[in-house]
Amino acid sequence: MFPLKQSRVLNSFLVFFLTLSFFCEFSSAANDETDSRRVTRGIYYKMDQGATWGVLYDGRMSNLHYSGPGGLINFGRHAQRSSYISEWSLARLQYNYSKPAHKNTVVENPGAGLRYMYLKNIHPKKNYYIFAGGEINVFGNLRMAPRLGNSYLWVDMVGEIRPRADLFFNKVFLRRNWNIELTAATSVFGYTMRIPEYGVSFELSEDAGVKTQGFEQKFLLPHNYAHITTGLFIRESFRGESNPNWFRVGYVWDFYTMAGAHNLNTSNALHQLVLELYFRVR
Amino acid sequence: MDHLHQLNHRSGRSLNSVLSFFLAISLSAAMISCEKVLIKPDASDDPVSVFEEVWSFTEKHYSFFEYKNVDWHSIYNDYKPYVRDEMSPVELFDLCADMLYELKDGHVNLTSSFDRSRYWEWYLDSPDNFSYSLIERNYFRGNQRYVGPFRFLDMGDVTYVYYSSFANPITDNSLNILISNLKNKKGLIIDVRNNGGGSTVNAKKITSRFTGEKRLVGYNHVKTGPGYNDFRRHPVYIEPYDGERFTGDVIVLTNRRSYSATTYFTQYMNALPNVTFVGDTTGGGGGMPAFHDLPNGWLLRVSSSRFYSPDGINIESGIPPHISVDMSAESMAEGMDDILEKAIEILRSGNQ
Repeated sequence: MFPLKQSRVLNSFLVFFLTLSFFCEFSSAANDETDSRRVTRGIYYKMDQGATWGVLYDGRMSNLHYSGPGGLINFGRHAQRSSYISEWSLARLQYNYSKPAHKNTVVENPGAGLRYMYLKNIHPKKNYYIFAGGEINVFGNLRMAPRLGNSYLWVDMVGEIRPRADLFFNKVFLRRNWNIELTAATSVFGYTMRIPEYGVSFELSEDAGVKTQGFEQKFLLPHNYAHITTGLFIRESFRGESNPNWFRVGYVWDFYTMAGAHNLNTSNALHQLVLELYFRVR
Repeated sequence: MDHLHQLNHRSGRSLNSVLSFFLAISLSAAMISCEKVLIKPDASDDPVSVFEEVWSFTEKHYSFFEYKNVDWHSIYNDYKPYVRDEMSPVELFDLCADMLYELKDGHVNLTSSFDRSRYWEWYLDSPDNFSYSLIERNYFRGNQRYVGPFRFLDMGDVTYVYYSSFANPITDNSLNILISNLKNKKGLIIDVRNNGGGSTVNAKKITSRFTGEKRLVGYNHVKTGPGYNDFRRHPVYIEPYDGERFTGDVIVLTNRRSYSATTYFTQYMNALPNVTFVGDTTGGGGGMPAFHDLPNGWLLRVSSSRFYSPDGINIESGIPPHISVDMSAESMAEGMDDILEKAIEILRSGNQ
């Protein structure tokens, strides 16, 4: 369970984001609707890459929080029509937390995730679009801090369902067409397998290098888990009248927090600057 | 009028755009600030906080309070009055080290950039019972082979192997070479004296070469909560290696500096009927340590599990030998290792 104070804040935060999740991805082809449709409709292969900064607190590992740079790469298939958006994507992240204040302990944090998203256009007006739906997300998060000896390995594996909304809005600003998108998603239900939350986390084994003492499993609900993702993007088409490909650059804030037994909670915030490339295949 | 209407319409659109843009920026900023609230801030690194963290982590994770009859709360009351905000790091370190010393546990350490606290009494008051120099000068004499982490000597009807640290990785190939040397031998002597431990993986690897069947070697009790008895019990088995093995007589040489994973190894081998221990009681160290970063950058390590033999004996204080032998000064002066000589005598006589 979260401490009372944090729980209140978290509840307020969740309400805020659930409300927020009913608008969002906002793109503005300004008065040029044909341009907007040219860059959005179709089936695309996408490739994302990003420079990131992560902040980690894992009470099982330490009572300190660690931060440091990382990177991500993401491949997917993106289908967008005027009535819906669907997307498969496979992400790989790598962080290296070596904040100077705790430079003695470096935490390596590789992770990977698989996500399917489906959004329906619920506001098909001319000047902006709201797509709302949800995503199924599965991710694994591995943390290794060799300096911590037997306590050095921690794992979270999570499967979750998240409502999501994207708002597209196209407006002229500073004499330019800005195709802006705002996205928000928050978790409502999930399931996790974690390395036990107390004591030594593993014993080495002959074959695999590490052998956990047995995973603990539990359902994730808003009282013990929150995973919030928000993003702000600017979308552009590639040069050339007939070029159907496009890209977007943006900032994504991805945050999850999970309550653990004995108040040993885990929180992880990722600040990501991303470049996403979309190549039309159909 | 049309012109004015167009102008108003245009400025209204611009205003919308500006508001939309700033709304998006504000939301992003709000998210970042919420993160600061949601992620628990670090504890302070002042002396009082560090002392409290040392004490409370130990309170929640240490596994032998009851076994060692230690009243940790009483110890807190004894040491807390000496903690002052104006203490120097060295003074604070020494105070915390003294408090941890009360646990009398070699797996309890506080590590800073300028010192590492430790408890070594478990062997300082015992006979040394080992001299590598003596082995090297009087037994090896340059005839030993280096196979992976092992130094082994073919003594004709007996093979002697010295393994200095369970932290040194062992490959299957190293063990295959070692085992293949044991054909037509009366037995093997494995010397783990002064072996301060390392990985229990290596202990299991070696043990699996000397058993023909799966054997229960003990129970690992893993901490599951802050209570003194919050543990989960895991049985530990050794499976016979699927390849070259030796099921003849084996003698293991131990002394008080055979610590931690070496004590585990001794316990694993203890479950095999063809193994005899000669020398001194091992140093113990039966609790796998948990590690903890402190807010000032120091590292705390405390025993956080327990290991029991199949008949319920806690190995924290060490495992006694079947045949107790101390090295005498007279023998050493003559270049003799009494413990090794006893092992050779047992194997050659066949009276294990």
